[in-house]
Amino acid sequence: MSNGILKLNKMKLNKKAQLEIMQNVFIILIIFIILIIAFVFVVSVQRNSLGDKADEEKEIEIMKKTQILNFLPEMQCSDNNNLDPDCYDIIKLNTFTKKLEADMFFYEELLGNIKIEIKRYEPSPNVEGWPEDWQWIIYDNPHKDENGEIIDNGFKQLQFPVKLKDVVRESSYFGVIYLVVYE
Amino acid sequence: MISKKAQGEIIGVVLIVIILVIAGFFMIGLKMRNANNSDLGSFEDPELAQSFLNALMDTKTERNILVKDAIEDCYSERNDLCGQTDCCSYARAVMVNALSATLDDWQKSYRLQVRRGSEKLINDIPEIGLCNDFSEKEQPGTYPIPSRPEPIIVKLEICK
Repeated sequence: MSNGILKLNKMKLNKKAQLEIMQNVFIILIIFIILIIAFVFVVSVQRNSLGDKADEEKEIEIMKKTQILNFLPEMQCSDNNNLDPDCYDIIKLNTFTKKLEADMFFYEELLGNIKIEIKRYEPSPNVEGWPEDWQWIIYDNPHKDENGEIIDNGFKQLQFPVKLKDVVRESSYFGVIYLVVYE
Repeated sequence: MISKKAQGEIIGVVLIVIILVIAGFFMIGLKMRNANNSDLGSFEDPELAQSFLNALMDTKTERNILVKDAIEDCYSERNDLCGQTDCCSYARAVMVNALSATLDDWQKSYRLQVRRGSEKLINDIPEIGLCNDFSEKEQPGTYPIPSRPEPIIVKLEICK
């Protein structure tokens, strides 16, 4: 009789212990799952922030390239050696374009892989807006492989409105300078 | 007694889970805030509006007049510089063309105003647009044109 009661008690205790073990296992499992979710989340956020950093560096690189335009007296209007950063002299543009067509060696180092294009826009009503003979590709140096083939990795384009000064005709026109930064 | 103990343990587990979830959300929020702070956004020229006005106002049109002279003439009593056309509408048409070929094309919203004090002879461009007093704006560009009794102010605002 007493043996039976002892066995019954032992069985009850065993069941309780099993339940408690199960409970602990369950809690650990939940915590483990939560930790995995948190880890996955942190990794994805880190990856995103790495991507953002890379984008940020690209933007900074573009900002640097745009500064180059401010330091090209070869194209800018000057009056008594005072440069006007928003003004480009048409005579200088023509001369500089010809010079770069002949020899780009020095400017390749300075400007890198970019394209500088300037277009005149005629805002007068009833007039052709973008006259074709008023466009200058000043400099174009895309990435190239060993065989001289152009590598297309995409590009970013920035545009700035500028004044185009024609000293001969004593005129000034509205223009846009396009800066393409090859990636 | 046993069920009370079990309930207590369940509440404990729920509490732990809630604390972990709150901590998780806190971390997410912190990470997101840091990420937003470091984002520079795409590069914009801070002086775009000013460069635009500097270039446009000194532009000579096909009638051999500067845009700024057309505006000045619009506000003067003469109003004869633009030939048969009214200088106010001519200057506005020129500015509309230049803006649509550039800022519209570059998908930027803007507002161009021409005022002499409270006097407004040229309507805003665009007359009704997304860029208004309440919009967040880049650094505006202003171009003063000498005039009497006070200068004419051409103001270009580019909205973010």
